[in-house]
Amino acid sequence: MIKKWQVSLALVMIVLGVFLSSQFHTQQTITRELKYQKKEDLMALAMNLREKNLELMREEADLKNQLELLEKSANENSTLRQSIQAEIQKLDIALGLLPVQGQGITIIFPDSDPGVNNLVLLINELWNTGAEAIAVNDTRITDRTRFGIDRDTGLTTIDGQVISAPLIIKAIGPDTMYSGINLNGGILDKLKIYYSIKVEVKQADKIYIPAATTPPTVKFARPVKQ
Amino acid sequence: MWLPLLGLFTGFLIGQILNLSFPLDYAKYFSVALLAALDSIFGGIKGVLKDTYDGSILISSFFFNTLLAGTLAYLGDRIGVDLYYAAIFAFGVRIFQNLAIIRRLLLEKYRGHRSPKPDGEEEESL
Repeated sequence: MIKKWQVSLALVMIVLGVFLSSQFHTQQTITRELKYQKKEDLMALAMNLREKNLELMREEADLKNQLELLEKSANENSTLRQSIQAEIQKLDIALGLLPVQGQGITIIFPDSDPGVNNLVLLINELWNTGAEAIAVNDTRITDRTRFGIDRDTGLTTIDGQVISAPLIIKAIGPDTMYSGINLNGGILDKLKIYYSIKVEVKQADKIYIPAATTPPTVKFARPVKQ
Repeated sequence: MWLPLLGLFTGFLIGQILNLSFPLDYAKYFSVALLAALDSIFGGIKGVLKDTYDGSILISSFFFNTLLAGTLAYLGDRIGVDLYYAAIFAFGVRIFQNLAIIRRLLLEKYRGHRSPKPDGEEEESL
């Protein structure tokens, strides 16, 4: 049985309910909006944020420093690598492992070879006067090159291969090579005068010399620790 | 007894569904008004328990007090007197008093006998 007082009270309660939930909503919004927060809270919040900001700025500076250091060391590494590569290339050229080209001279014996001793003397003269790469009939001359004499024919051999006229010696190096072998009383004079061997010498801006076929081997020699 | 509670629940639900909220700048006055409304409700409940309940008094006091409290708080802010705190104090004290009386009355009902007026804690409602 519904009493009269219950109806009126219920009506008021409905209004109160709407009122309450609206107030709850409003209060929630207030706690979320900065504008309606307490001054002290806002100050604490601002202080916190400022500190955090400072911290982050410091961290940023640190990271920038680190980045700079890393970039610097990377640059150093790359210059080091470049110089090492240049060094390796230089040594490869000296060992005859790379085909090379450059200014130099060509010595041609059109009719006969000058004999192994004279050939070695001539090549040594070229080395002495600054040759950087030498080839005889397109065989690269290195520290491993063997000169010899073929038993049956008495012809010169290089690395066991018989070479025959015309003999073409190519050398890359400075102009001193040309003047060195053409010295009065020098090796070419000796060949021309004593052996009456025909020799032609030409200077050229671009001479191509192939790589050696046998790579260097190091089996027994070890570097000495200092 | 359940109808008013059902009413409260329904009202709350309506508010939630409609997602009602007050303008933020006036939230303060609405909170005082809500306090006045609560005061009226507890006064009404006390009246029910004491058999002195009058529906029209409740309804009129509910709306009038609510309106008055909100308006006074607003006016106080306009004239530079914090009537807001006065309203909170007045309604707060009364709500606690009414709640104490309601608790006592309910306890007496539960015990099944009604002693005539217990000592001076009781005061006249609206």
